Amino acid sequence: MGKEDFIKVENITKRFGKNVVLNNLSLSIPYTGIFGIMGLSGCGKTTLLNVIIGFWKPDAGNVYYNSINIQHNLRVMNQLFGFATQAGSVYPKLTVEENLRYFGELYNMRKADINARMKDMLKFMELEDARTTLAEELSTGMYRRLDIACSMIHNPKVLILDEPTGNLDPVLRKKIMALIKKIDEQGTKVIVTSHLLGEIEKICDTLAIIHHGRVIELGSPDELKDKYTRDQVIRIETKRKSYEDLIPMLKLAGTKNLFQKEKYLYIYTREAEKVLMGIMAHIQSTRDELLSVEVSKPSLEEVFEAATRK
Amino acid sequence: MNFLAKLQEKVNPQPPTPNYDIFVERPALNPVTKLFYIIGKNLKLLIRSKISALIFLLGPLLVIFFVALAFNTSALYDLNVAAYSEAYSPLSESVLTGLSDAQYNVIRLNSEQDCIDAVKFSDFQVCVVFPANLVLDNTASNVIKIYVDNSRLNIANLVASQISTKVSVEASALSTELVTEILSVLDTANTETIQSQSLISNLITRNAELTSDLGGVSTELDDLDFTYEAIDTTAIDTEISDIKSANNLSSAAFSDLNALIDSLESDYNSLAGTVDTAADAIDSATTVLPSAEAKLATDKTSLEEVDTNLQTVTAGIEGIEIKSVSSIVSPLQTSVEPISTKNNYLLYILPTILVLIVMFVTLLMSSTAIITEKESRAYFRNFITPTNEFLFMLGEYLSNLIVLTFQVVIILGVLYLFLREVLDGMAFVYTGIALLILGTFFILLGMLFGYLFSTKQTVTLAAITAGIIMLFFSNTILPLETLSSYTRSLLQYNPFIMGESILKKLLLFGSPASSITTTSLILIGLSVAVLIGAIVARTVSKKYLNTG
Repeated sequence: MGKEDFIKVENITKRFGKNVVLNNLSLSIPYTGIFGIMGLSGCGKTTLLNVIIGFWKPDAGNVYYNSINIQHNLRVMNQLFGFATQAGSVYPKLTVEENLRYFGELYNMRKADINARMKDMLKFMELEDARTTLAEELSTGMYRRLDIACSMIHNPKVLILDEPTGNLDPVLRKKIMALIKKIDEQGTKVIVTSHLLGEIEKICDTLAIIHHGRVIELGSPDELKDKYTRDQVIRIETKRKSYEDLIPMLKLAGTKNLFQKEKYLYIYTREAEKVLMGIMAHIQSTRDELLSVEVSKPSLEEVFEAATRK
Repeated sequence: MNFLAKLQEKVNPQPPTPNYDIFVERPALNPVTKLFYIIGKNLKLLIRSKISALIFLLGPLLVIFFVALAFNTSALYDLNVAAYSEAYSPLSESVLTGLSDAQYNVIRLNSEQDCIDAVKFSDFQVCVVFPANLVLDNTASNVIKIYVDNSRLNIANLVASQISTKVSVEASALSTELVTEILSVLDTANTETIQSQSLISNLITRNAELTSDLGGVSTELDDLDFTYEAIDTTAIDTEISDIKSANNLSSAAFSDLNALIDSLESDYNSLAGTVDTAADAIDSATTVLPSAEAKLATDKTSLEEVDTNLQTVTAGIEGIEIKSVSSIVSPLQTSVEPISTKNNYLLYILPTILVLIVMFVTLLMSSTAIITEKESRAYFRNFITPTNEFLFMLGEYLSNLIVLTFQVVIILGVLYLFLREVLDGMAFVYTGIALLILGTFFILLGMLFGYLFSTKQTVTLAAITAGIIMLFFSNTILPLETLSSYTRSLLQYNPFIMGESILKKLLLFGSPASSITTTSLILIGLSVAVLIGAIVARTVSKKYLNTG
């Protein structure tokens, strides 16, 4: 196992009743950089994270941290991982300081260590002024920062953040993203899931796309884009905004990757010019009118859409 | 690496790669230290939730305070009695006067239906209907009707019994008068019979004497000989002739003698007639005397029979062992003695009230604490820390036990103010320990519900339902004797009943602590069973934990 296999997920299967959430999933999380996991809702992202930290035992397969089987060394692994859920795992009726102290104690930290670490964390998370404030009285951004601080109070080697920007406004999202970057820079390995692909694209060094319980794409954002750049994206808008006649025609002509989203028709193709000509001819024959046309390389969002549609 | 990447690296150099291989595992903290923090956290959560704190901490105290104030009396109840009679007699008035004491407010209504309706629709516990002109008479119907609302199970029976007792007291007084009269008559009869018996004895004696005398007379009469010879004057005449011849006397010389002889002969013959008559009379008497004797013998037999009968009557009267009026009126007297010497209604209801408070408070408090913890997202983080899961359970149990201990101390403190004169100090200590043992069971049961169910509503419903079932199948609402013996044998393990039984022994009967050992051990055994259930439920609930 090399440096690319810092955390190795090997043939994991996890079922809940008859529902197979993770289906023989394998994944290698590299040693460096922020690792992002993308996927549609219910694709198994959270389940995967819970299996990685050892909370849920997989029905099959293993997870290794630096070649150490996590399931066999849970007590140690609990100290290595920090985990923050989307909703936030803090006690609303405890103050900021009490939350940090309580979880520090559960992580076997001595009082002096807790005090020192708490001081650092409060400063790092900019929560110094709110140390005696009840968690339920914190603003959304502060609450989220407290949650992350609680995940990091025991100074974990790996911090896992499940949808850390969910339900946040754009300004707070930006701040949390900056914080994640800062955590990574301080030497804590960060694994993050998000459905906000524009933001994850900005901070993640490696991305995995999960679909139907399997990893369907893995690589850096650039690598993933490159994978899809051989295709160009044509986005058209017609006056009728109805493409029911056009789509079968394009499929007949060999264009497989196309879909309508809102009023636009997106077409992924390596022969943009030829496809465009065909489209124009069809529009003319049907006496429709072309309102806009745009040819570009796909964004990560589009890559994701294309990948999960496969 | 492209130009842009190289430039970025030059401007913003990457931080040194951390060495994830170096990791020093922290030694585990002492579990007791962790437990201390878990309990501290739980208590803070409870106290900072103001409504919970108010309900769980102050609720029981208020309940016990008000109960103590309300029931700290030896009087029973303030009962309203509706009464009706078409015509009240001195007797019915007397019964009503008997009822109109401190416990009964007697209100007279205008009709029997009004009286019944008063029980149905008003605040009357009982309706008493007296027959018109209630008197003690052979022809009178002396049935006093008592109407009670049977839907008010306990109070109905209690009130009916109380009223019946009151009426019985009146009836008993009347019976005493009647029986006294009868006994007096009986006594007179007995005295006179005894007197008659001596007369009969005298008669029998005299009869015997008469019989004997008659026998004597009869014998003497039988011995009398009335046989005689007829008088013969021939020899006299011969002599006279001889004398005349010898003396040559004339017959005239003997005329006087002959007249005398003739007179003598006549008298003799007359006497013979009388003797014959006497003999005839004696013969006749001798014939009657046996008949008289036989009659006397018959009379004697009759007199002896009368004597025997009188003896039987006297023996019967004297053989009556119970001659006391009160003993005849109530040959079997019942005296209901309380098994507790403590005459205070607060003490009577205290075991039930204490178990009720402990049961509902601990059931709801522990189940709510668990479900609140489960619903809080922080619950999940507890699972991913290097902390033994059972430490959290132990923390929850101890947190609840601490709150319960606080409540028990305050409750017993309040009770001490009211009951310090009737209970000794150790009774309070043992009661406190018993409540904690009982509370342990209910805390664990509440925790089981908390782990089993997933919403506050269902958990609360489950806790209340369980409490109500235990309450319903105790002696508090329905007497257990109304249930089948099999059900009763099962219900002896109802923790509510066991708790009540322990507290009754300690508070009412002044039993030693050793008397509650077996029940306490059963309770502890049940607690262990519930604990195992709670552990299983917690393990299962973890699988369904929402970690999103």
